[in-house]
Amino acid sequence: MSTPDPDTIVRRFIDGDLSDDEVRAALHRIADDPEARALLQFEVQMTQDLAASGAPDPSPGFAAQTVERLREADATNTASSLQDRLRGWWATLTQPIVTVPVRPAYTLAVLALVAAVASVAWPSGSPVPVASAPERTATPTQPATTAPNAPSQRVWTRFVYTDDDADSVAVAGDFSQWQPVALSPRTVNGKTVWTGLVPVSRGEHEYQFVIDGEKWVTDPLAPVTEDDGFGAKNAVLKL
Amino acid sequence: MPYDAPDGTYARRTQSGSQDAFEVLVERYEGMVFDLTHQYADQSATAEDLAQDIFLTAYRRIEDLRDPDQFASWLYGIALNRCRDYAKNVRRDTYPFSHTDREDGTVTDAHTVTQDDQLAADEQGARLWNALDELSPTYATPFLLKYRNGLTYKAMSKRLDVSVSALKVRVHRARKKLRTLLEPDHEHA
Repeated sequence: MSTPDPDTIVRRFIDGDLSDDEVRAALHRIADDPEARALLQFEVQMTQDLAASGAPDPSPGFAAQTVERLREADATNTASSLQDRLRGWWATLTQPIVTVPVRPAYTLAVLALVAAVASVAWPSGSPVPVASAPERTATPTQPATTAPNAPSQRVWTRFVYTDDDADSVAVAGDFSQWQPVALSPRTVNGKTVWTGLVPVSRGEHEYQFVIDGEKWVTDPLAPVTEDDGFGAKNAVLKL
Repeated sequence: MPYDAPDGTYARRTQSGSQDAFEVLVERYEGMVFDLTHQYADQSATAEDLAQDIFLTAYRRIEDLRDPDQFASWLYGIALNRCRDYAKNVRRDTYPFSHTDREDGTVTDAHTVTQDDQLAADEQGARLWNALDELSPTYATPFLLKYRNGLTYKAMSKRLDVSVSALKVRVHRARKKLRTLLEPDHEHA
């Protein structure tokens, strides 16, 4: 049987493929072979370097949060494609079948007619319907209305909480039957900002943030709070 | 489906639209991807964002993966490209010293390791990771799974659907290639 070359001996030694007797013989061979010695020395050095330069472990919920972001993106895409289709249908419906040339004199008459109809439909002092619901600016730790859902009167509300040390942050409120809804971490200006969209029905709601699944905290920027009956404060959200 | 099925099984299910299957793959390779992103990003939070972007990119491109059994090395390729793009965009030129700013850089003066030693160790680690960038995913992936994630060859074989002996050869080739790339550093050390 031929004797393995030093390179193979080193590999088998490192991989633990040798019996006790073979290990003894291998150590003699390695000691006698400068190349094998250098390779083994490199192995030790490299293992130390790798151990010293490794990254911290990912947070426990990393995989779940990543998939959650996928789902959020899918939901947004679905909504966008629906909007695109509706826009397409609307464009088709409103596309003029026959183009009528309008003289300036007729334009003034049409404007006067529109003004008259508008004054009957929406008399002075009544709210005038607008194309989209008002949008609150998202600021850290304050919920922001981002998109209305008129038929069910539910509003997609963005909750934001800044915490560099948390492993997970969720929001829980009466709108979620006080079940924590996980927020996703994002880096904004070097800070870890936890954020997520939650559907909330119109009206008044109370909520708290849940840090690391166990610590309940009041939204520090909530303008209004209420006692939660357990010695802490719920933030109050009015939509 | 057993949790320890090969990567290919989960990759195929992901291609069929299963996000649960993709979550298993994220859990399996988050450590490998984190290791890589932490070598390029100064802040832990940035590295985590980068890692998440890499997985989202992989999911969106999963249809491009012709051989699902090659998921790990395919993902490694995506991660490396994304990290290089990131480095290019932020024009980082103080790479080896950036690690001193990390929250987990605990060394000061009272213990056995001095700040200089820590800097030297950081530089040495950075050189090693730079050398790793030169390896093809076929060799880098099993190497990192063994040395960083502590996987046995048997466990790796199950995941990657590659024989134990072939994996040992790949890791050894990676080791030798790294030594070739780093030899001058060791000579000066």
